[in-house]
Amino acid sequence: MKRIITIILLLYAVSSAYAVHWDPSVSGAVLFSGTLFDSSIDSSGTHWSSVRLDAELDAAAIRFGKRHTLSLPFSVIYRSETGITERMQLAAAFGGELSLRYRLMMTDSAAVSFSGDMAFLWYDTCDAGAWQFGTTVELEYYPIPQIGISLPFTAAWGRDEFTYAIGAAVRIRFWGSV
Amino acid sequence: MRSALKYIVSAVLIAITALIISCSDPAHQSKVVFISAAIDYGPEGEINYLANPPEDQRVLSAEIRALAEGSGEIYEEYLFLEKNGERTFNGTRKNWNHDDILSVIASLDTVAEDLIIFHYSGHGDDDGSLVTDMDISFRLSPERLLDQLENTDGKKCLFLDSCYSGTFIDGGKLADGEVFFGGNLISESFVHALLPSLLMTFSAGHTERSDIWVFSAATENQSSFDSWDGGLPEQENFGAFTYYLASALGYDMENDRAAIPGRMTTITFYDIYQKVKENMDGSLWKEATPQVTLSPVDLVLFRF
Repeated sequence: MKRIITIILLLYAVSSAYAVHWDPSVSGAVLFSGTLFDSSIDSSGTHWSSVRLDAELDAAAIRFGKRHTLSLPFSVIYRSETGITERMQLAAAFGGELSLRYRLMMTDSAAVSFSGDMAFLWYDTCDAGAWQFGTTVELEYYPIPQIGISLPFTAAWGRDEFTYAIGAAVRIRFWGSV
Repeated sequence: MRSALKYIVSAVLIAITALIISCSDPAHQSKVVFISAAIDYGPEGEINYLANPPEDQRVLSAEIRALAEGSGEIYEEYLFLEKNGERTFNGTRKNWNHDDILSVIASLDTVAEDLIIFHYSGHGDDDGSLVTDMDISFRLSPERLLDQLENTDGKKCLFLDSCYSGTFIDGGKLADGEVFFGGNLISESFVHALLPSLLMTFSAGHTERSDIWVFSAATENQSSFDSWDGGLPEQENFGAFTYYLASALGYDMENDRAAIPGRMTTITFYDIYQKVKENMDGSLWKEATPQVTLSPVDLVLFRF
């Protein structure tokens, strides 16, 4: 009980110190994804390349003052199947990702964000799935406050697997004020 | 003098080039090797007799040969058969046992791009071992077979139509959403996979065997069936699992002949799994639930 009261008081203090705004957004991204497996999964050491599509809803986003935003975005992910190498092919996968993100507005139109991500990917081919945990750094530019373009860089680790992605995204901020 | 030297140097360079070219290996045409062991424990009337393994081997060898040759690959087959209690190897009488199977695997001349398909149709022991003879000293354990296959170059695909054959499947990298009760499948959903896969992410140890994909007729706790009455007249002549497997590979069961797909088609390991899952009788799927190695990497069996 004490802890809950302490947290509530802290939040009140922070919100009193800053003007707090709800700052939801949606975004869509296209990324180039590369995946590497432990030799126990893939002895060929192939770098598996595929296209990844992300659709994100960042509803739980709170902006403190002009510069700092904390949010819990949720994304739906699709990763395409790869080409065939040595009789093997990385299957297509789809899933969901939940992140904890911090965004810093460096100027009125440029921002950088950092997030910790957890994703569950499902492989329709064998009706099975796996978790991945990783991090994303995103460079954002807002030519107008409501619409931004960004360059996300993602790295994630799963069991016997490392995957990275780099691409481009478009973000629409509903209230769009700086 | 200078011209003579030039000619001598040119001749030496040409000779060296010719030597290098002649030493290089010719391009390797990829190969499909089919190794099958099918045992009926006969003759008919014996207590452990199984009617259908010989037919299982016949249709699978015909279909895999057709697929391999149709996709432009070299085909090799090694057929270990017991029919009416008489043992043959590639059609010649031979009193073979599992050591002969392992010797054949050890002697294969394959490279990384080649495909080795191992098929077994017969009894399986409680621990998943293949019962290559009713004499208890003749058991081919999963470890021995998988170790031998792992030491062989190429991609390996195992089709196992025997009881408890799910024992051949390693822990895997992925988690499925199957829930069993009393040995039977009662539910399947991705929701059931969330927690097991989360625990798997942080558990110690790696999947130990790469380049091996296993498709078994049942889990490690289930029996498989010598035949299944699914309502189709020809279905009773084949192992319950093998009937659907051969059909999924493309064998024309109605006309009893091998068939290959049209052009621009790729047949992968998980394609076959999904076709079996789609077509298998629901009651059979619950009692003898086929299992596959769970991997994000699919094995391409044939390309047309």
